This record gives sequence, C-alpha cells and structure tokens, in this order.
Amino acid sequence: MANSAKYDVSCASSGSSRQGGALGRASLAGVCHSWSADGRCISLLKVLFSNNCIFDCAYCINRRSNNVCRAQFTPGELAQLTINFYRRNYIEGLFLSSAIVRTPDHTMELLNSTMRLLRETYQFRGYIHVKVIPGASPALVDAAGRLADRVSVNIELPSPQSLSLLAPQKSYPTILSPMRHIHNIIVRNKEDNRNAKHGIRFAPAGQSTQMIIGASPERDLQILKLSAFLYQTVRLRRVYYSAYVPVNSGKNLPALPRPPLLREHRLYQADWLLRFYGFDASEILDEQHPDFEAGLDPKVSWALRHIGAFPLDINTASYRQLVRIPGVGVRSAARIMAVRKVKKIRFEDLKKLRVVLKRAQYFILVNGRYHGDVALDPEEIRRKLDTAAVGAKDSSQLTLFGSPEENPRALASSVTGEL
Amino acid sequence: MNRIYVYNGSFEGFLAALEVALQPGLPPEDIVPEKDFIPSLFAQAIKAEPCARRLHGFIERLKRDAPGVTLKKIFYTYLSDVPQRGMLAYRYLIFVFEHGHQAGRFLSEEAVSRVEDLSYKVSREAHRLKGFVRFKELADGVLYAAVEPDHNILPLISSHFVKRMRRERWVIHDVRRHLAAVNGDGVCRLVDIQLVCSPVYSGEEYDYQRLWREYFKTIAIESRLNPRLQRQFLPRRYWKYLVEMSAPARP
Repeated sequence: MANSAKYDVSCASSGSSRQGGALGRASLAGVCHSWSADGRCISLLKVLFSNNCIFDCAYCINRRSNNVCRAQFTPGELAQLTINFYRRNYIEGLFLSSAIVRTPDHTMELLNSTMRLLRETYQFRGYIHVKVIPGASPALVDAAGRLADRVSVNIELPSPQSLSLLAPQKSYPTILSPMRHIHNIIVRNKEDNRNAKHGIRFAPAGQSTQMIIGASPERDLQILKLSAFLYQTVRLRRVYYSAYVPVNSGKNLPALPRPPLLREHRLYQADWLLRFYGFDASEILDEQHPDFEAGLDPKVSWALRHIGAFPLDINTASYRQLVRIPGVGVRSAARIMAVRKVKKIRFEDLKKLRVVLKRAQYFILVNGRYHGDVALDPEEIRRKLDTAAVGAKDSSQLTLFGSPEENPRALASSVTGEL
Repeated sequence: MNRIYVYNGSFEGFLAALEVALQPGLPPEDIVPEKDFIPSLFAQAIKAEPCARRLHGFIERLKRDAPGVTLKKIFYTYLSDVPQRGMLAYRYLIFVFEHGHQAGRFLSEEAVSRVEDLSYKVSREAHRLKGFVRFKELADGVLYAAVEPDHNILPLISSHFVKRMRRERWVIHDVRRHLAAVNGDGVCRLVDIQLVCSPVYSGEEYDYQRLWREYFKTIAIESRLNPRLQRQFLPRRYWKYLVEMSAPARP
C-alpha cells in the first residue's frame, strides 16, 4: 500500500501538540525519522487504506483502468501496525489516505473508524494526517477533523481545466468547497475553544493540499497565484508541489523524460518567499516573466529586475528590506537586527552572521561601501550568479553536475521544502 | 605555573570549575574532566569540588548579571563533545559578565559565536536523535535502543520519550559513553551501564523490522533516486543503529 501512497508529498508532522492518553504525543516542531533513497523525509507511515478505486484519474497508478493488484487493510490491522511502528520510534504517526472504495462516504467512514480505533481503543496521541475523500459528506469530514491533527484535500492540478481533463470524476467545486468548509470549522472551533480549557480541537495542525507539477500546461505564475489564493482565502498551512512522475501513459498526459525536479524546487523557493519573506505572487513572477529561471533562484531573479531598490545598507535597512536581499534569510536577518542594537556591523562580521556573501555582495552596502566583485549592473551580476549560463561555473562543476537539472545543490532542499 | 582546573565530569562540577576559574587573578590554562586530565610537569592541577552554597551563589549571579539563556548555553556547551568546551564556556562567561544583558547580541564576537554555534550543534543533534532512536522489543517487553551520538544528548532527549511513552519500559543506551536513560514504573533515570550480554529480542520484533525495511524500500520513488541528498540528511555515522539502513539480523 505504501507503493501507491508514495506519490503523495506531504511529510510534515508539525504544528500540533496533543497530550494525555496512553501512547504518543505530537511534537510541535515535528520530527523526521528517516530519509528514503530519493532523499525525501519519512515522518509518518504513509499508506492507502485501499487501492481499489472507482475513479479513473489519468495520472494515478490506481486508476480504475489500470491492472494493479487490489488490496485493502482492515482498521484493526492498520491500527496495530501504526502502534507497533510508533512504539519502535520508526514514525511520528499515520498519514491515512485511500482510493475511493464503492462511494466517497463509505471510504471516509473506513478512514474514520481506523482513526477512532487508534484514538479511543489504543488511546493513541501521536500525529494523524488524513486525506479528505472528495465528495464525502460534511458530517464525515467534521468527524475526521476531530480525530486527526491535519486534514488535507488534494487540489491535484493547478487549473480547473486540467483537472477535468485528467481527473474527470473530480472538479474544482468538489475540492474547494470542502476546503472552505474545513476552514470555517477551524475558525469557529478556535473561537469556541478560546475560553474552554479542554475542548476538542478540530485539526489543530490545520489543512494542507498538494498539486502535481508538469502534467498540465500551466505556467509557474498561474501555479504561484493559486497557492497565494489558497494561503489567503482558506489559510492553508502548506501547499505541496509534486513533480509529475509518469506512471501511466495516455493521450492527455505529457511524455517527460524525468520528473521536473528543478521546477518543483523553484516553486518551493517561491512558496517560502510568499509565506516567510513578505512577497506577493505578482512580485515574484509577472506577465512578462511567467516562469522561473532555471539558473537563478526566484529571489535573485526578482532582485535583478528591481536593481533600483539596491544596494541596501546592512546597518540601516529595515527587517522587511533585509529579508529581500538575496543571500540573507530570516535567520541571518534576525541576527543582523540583534547585532545592530549593540554595534555597527563590519563586512567581516557578515560571514559569522551566516549571510551568504556569494549572492549578498552585489546587493548590500556596508558602512557606505559596495563589496561586489562586479559593478552594480544586472547583466554583470547575472553572469556571475546564473548557474545555467555557460561559463558562469568553473569547469569542475560543469563536468561534475552537467545540466542544472542534475545539480544536486539545487535539488538539495527540493523535496522536504526546507531551504 | 599554568593552572588546569579539573572537575568530576558532572555539570555541577563543570559549573564549580568555571566559578573558581572566574575568580580574579586565577586565569585557567584549561578546564577538563578528570578522565581527560593528563598530568604534566608544567601545569598545576586544581581540583574543583562542587559545593552547594557556592553553586547557588554562582547561579544567582548568572541570573542577575547575564542574559536569561546563559545557563542553558553553558549546559549545552558542557554536553558537547569538543575538548575545548571548558575554555569556550569560560571565555563566553568572561564576555557575558563584561557586557551584561546585552551580551547575547554580540553574535559576531568570537567568544559568543563559538558557544552559539556549539550549542546549536548540540541541540540540532538532539533533535535529530528524537527521530533516529530505534527501539527493539526484548523478549520481556522492554524496548531497547542503542545510540552513538557525537554529543552527550541523552539528558536532552529523554523527556521527549517520557512524554510519549510514559507507560512503556524502555532504555536508550549511549554505547560510547556507557550511559543510559531508563524508563519504568513512572520514573526515568540517567544511569551508567555496561551491557553484559547481548539482548534477546521478542519474536514479533523481527516481523516488524522486516515490515519497516520493506516499507522504507517501497516508499522511495525510483525516478527521483538521490542517495547524496539522503546522506545529507541521514549521515552515515548514524546508520549503524537504524533498522532500515542496516542488514536484517535473524538469530
């Protein structure tokens, strides 16, 4: 069953802290327990309850028209497996999803009874992430949210047109309305619990979603705008991007030689800019630049298009300005703010504050001086930083890594979304 | 004559040594635990015995004159595996007492940044080990896990496991330091241990190990294989005790 579930990319076990019970507690910071051979973090036991699906989504290994071995857990088996993996500290909890067995309600009820068994009979307080089955009735979704730490509805594809083309039984309304429903319950539940000490919390780790990248023709701008929309309207905790891995063939599916991992990586970088760096989707990309550049991260791309805003003085720029400097992250910006309270920062200090000078040198002034090794000119800086441009890298790197698609440094954080 | 302050290996001893070394006119050449002390003709060993009254006074002074996190930073430095940890803590405290509550902000000063970096490393390894501990069920139901962390992180992670497995009996054994966190009957203790015989596992144990290995193998997506990335998150030195990264051992 893990074989079918592995294409789901959500890995987080954070954002929740349950207590009491006989076994287990969710840790607020989340814990990764292992990393599989593809470099993705393993935190939860990620399984499909069943792979016996009535739907026929083009991209999915378990579509009705595929001839795969069909199997199904019983709630008891799955609960026992979870408990025994958890006791051995293999996992942080359970990630429960399923193909659609008979009807959406029937499937959702099977997932709920598994969770009920874990929470009530085994008194399990570890982390549970449950997928909301598209089309399940609101009452069952409510019940799921009271048992799980995080719920998610997969948006699957970045536009309604692509969804109806590739997943004919799903539609944006049947995906967005449960998201809105869940968001409303979370908001209401928070208000209800404000004064109650031990109220039942509804999905304390919030909701997330994921979409497949590269199976459909959307530009990066459209994808990023959709994410921004989801973060704003239904307050998702995370949007996961999953580079399309061809497991089926079909007339509506593209033939890709390999998953678009670099594109996925750039989307995660931009996603971080949205959530932690105060950027708008419309700043990161626009109609003239609807796609990410292969050789430049989204922040550098943005900075080169807005070179007039630079250089910024490290000793006087505000925090909001600091985090917009390429090579300065939220941590190093916080360090800069702290040091500035007690002394003037010198250029030599920046390395100790973990500023990445390779990029930052072109965008900063330190006590009135510019330290870049080329002039403050977007074209010259681009030549220095663009890893896709010929001649930008030294020869050893070229022979080692080949195309940027295979550049392991660029891919290093692509999967967990850690940057 | 160079002064080397020697303590008994405990955190109280470490603090006592620091307290004595910080007295005016007594600068140390080094601060080391007994087991690492090598007598030399040119050094004078000064044994620092922890004394409850003086320790109390020292901690009060830290609370009054230093940033709130100072004691925690000193504890993490003590837990680290770096031979110079005594002197790093000493120089940190000199700086802290000189600059008072603002001291923590001087992140670009050597005295501060070394201790900051070191305690970050220790806390990062502690966090890692919360994930990497692998319990194996013994025939009598006790869960046993062997670990070999770089730093002495057992004191930092035992409460994490107490919270989630209060009612289980378990042991986390730091093989290199002969230390163990032992939980049972509602209490968790840190004790010195030596394993006298190899553990006997329960029959189910091998089944779950097999299931976990299978799951681990299956979950990787072939077309995105990236062992280098895997090693970056899961360094080789931790593989020895990870069920999924070691070969199955059937009796």
